[in-house]
Amino acid sequence: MDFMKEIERKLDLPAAEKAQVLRELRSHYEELRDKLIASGMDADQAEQEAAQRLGDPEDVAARLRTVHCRATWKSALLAAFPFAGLVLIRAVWRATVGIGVTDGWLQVTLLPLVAACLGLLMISGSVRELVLGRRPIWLATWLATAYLALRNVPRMVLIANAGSYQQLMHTRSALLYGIENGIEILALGAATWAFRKSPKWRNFYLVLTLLDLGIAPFMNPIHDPTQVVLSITHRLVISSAIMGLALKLFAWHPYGNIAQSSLFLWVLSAPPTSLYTRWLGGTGYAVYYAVCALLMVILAGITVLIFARACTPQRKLVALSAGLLAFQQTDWLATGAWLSSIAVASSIVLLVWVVLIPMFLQRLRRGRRPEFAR
Amino acid sequence: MPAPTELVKGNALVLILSCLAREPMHGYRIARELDQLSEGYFVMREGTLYPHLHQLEKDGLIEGYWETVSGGRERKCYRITGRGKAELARRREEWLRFQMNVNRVLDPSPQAFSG
Repeated sequence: MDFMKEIERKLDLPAAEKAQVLRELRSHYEELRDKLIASGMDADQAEQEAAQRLGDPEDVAARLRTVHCRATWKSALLAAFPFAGLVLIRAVWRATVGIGVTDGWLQVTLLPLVAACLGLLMISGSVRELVLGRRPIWLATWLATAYLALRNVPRMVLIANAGSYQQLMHTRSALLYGIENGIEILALGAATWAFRKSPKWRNFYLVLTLLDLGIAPFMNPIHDPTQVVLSITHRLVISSAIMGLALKLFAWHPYGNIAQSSLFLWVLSAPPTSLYTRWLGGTGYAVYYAVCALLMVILAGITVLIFARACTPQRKLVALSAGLLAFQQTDWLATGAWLSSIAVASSIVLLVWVVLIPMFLQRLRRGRRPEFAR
Repeated sequence: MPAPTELVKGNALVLILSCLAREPMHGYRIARELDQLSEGYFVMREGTLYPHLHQLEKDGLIEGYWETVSGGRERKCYRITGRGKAELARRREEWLRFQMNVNRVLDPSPQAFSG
């Protein structure tokens, strides 16, 4: 058994940290091996003895992961802060749309300003850390929530300029859709980049990106069946980008991480639960959005919990994908009853795709990474 | 006979700190010191030493630095920090009190019951 190769395979840490740990372990292993050889042992025996003295690579790797992946309360709170802030801003924005306050100062002035400030704060904080060569645990949530915050800023600013949402839809809807679809296509670009080392999957996402570039200009606003089909295709394509990333991450994990999958399952099932509340409540959008706001705050907490437990960029991305998915599903639910049914169906499909299939694959190929995870 | 694994695991941090309180050492040397000073009583898989070292480093009780020795081999050495020294003193005190009370219970002297 080659101890160093085995530990390198099992040690699931951020690249820079992993390199340092391996360097130190290698130094110990080589020193021990050389001392054994110097004492008269032959090289093969010395390597075996050194590996045995160092212990079970899986056990050592697991202990190292525990030490290096421990999130402090401070870092978890820093990670939670922007996400929870954004969720609350969005929930208030949604709730005021729901109860008909579409032209008030809160929605057209204060919320866009707060969202933009939050986005800029997160970007500047992230850039500062990157410039200083640091990769704190909260960096990924700051970047992701900055993306989410800034993605909503154009809509809010355009509404503020137009005076109301309805007015915007009459005058400048093409501009709004163009900006929002352009930002979503970036997610596909990110997936293409993430899968760059796997030609098959890279090409798959490249084709999807090109397909979506063709679809996006013609799908909004939804007036006829063709646009409905285009819109659903667009949503599926974007979902495939987000879920593809999540799939990669789950498959990467050497063990079937039941806790992570269970939390992910919860995140997935929460928006459909809010749909039932809407059906059963019978009091219209106000109750629906109030429940959604509460659920989204809980989702933010769950996502942060997963995030704090995740120690590699890949696993952090799973947590962020869960958050993004929850946002997206809630969007679907907000667009109307008929599309909500599709949202429930898609939740089931995505759940099977993201959680069950990777877990099944891990069972089949325990200890081996599937091709798409390399 | 080697010490029970759980006992070693539970006291590994204080054992490592006390080694480093004498002088800076690298992981391999710490493993040798523990083995020699305890005459083979504290046996641990040497790889499991590193999670403890990294934990101590993250807690600010020790600090690591790289050095190159003869033959060009690099190794990461650790030295105890001020906080580490304070923590070691606290743990030593705690250990002595614990040991004294365990001894009292294991071997109660007649005076303990006389009052």
